[in-house]
Amino acid sequence: MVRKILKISMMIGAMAFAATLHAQNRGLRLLGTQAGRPGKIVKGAPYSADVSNETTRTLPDGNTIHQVSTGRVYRDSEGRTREEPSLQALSSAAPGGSVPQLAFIYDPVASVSYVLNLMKHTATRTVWPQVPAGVPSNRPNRQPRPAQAIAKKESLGMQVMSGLVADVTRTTQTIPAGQIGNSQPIVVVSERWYSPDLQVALFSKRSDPRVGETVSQLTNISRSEPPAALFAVPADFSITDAKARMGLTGVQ
Amino acid sequence: MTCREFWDRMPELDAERLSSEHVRECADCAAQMEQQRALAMSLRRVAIQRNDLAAPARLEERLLEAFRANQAAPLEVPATHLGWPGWAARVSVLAAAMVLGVFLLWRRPPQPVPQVASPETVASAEWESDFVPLPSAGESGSAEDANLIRVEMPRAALVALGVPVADGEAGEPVEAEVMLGMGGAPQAVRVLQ
Repeated sequence: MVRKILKISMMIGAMAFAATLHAQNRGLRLLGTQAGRPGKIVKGAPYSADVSNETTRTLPDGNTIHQVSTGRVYRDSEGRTREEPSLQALSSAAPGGSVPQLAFIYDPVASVSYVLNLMKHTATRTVWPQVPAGVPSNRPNRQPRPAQAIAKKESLGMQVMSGLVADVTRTTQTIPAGQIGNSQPIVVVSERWYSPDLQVALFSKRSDPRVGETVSQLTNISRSEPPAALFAVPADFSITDAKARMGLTGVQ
Repeated sequence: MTCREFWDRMPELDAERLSSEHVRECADCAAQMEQQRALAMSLRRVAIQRNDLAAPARLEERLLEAFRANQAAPLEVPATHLGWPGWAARVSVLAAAMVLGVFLLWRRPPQPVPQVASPETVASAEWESDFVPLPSAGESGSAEDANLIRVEMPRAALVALGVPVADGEAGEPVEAEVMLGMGGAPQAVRVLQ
């Protein structure tokens, strides 16, 4: 009897240990999503493009970190947007999990946003209060701001990129020596190619000696109207409404 | 806008004003705003790093017991005739309430952003609070692409992304919210546990 109890206990212990190991070794796991709402609704300027973000950092020992993430963005004439991000950076940091394929749709006409889980054929809908076209939201710019004490903004004129005219500006921010404990001035240079037609940045580059160089770019830009189906939930997707005041939606 | 007018508007509570015209023109105010932002960021990092600290488990229970006991007691005596024991009791309860409030706020996990609330009603500072910008966050992190995902990932993955987390088992799963930029590049992370 005692031996049986011991055996069962050992089996339970082994199973618990295996379960713990499994839990600890699994990589990225999606728990919930929330579609963002565009800060500015742009009508009459449809486009679609590939978007890429590239970050390169060189460490003091010569080691380098190079990260690339790509996705696809769409916008129709009514200002509806769709983003299909890749989660490469996250999945690289947490290998071994299942990387979800998501699409974020925002429809300012219906004032609704959706998050589509393209693998599970599910969608989560969030209804937003109406916002007039052209009104920016209060969402903050998330980019880290350098300690800016001296900023110099210069226009590099109108230039052409991917067949589109862009207003190019360069901003140089200098953090004087001693402001953040730095022994010498730190110079952060940003360059932005902004398309007045599309009202979107076609290209931006930021060089900060503290975090390296970050380049974001739109490529394969098409100005034709994207298919309407891209901004709607496919018929075979099950839709769940996001609960009010719950923040992120649940597992899809 | 003068410096005084700028600070009278409490720009600390509105991240949009961090990039206002005045900040771009006034190096002094820009430096002050940056110092405040850096301080807030440091405090958030400390909070994340010391997330493992907690008050004794019995504390909340005892305080709640004290509240219930106080609430159950009849309050027939006018406040002006309480005498020093009555006032002492009230002051004690008030102090306990403050301690409990601080304790609960301290222990409360970061609250997700309300789903239905208009972004216009959500203070930018609140939206931004607890999120730690990643070193790889790029210029394209504009306001119009703040899609969020909540994920579970090993603690080591957060470290790899550049998020300061408390020491612990590298493979231990940790819940976090991630702000995605255009293309899906992670821009900022908020650790939930």
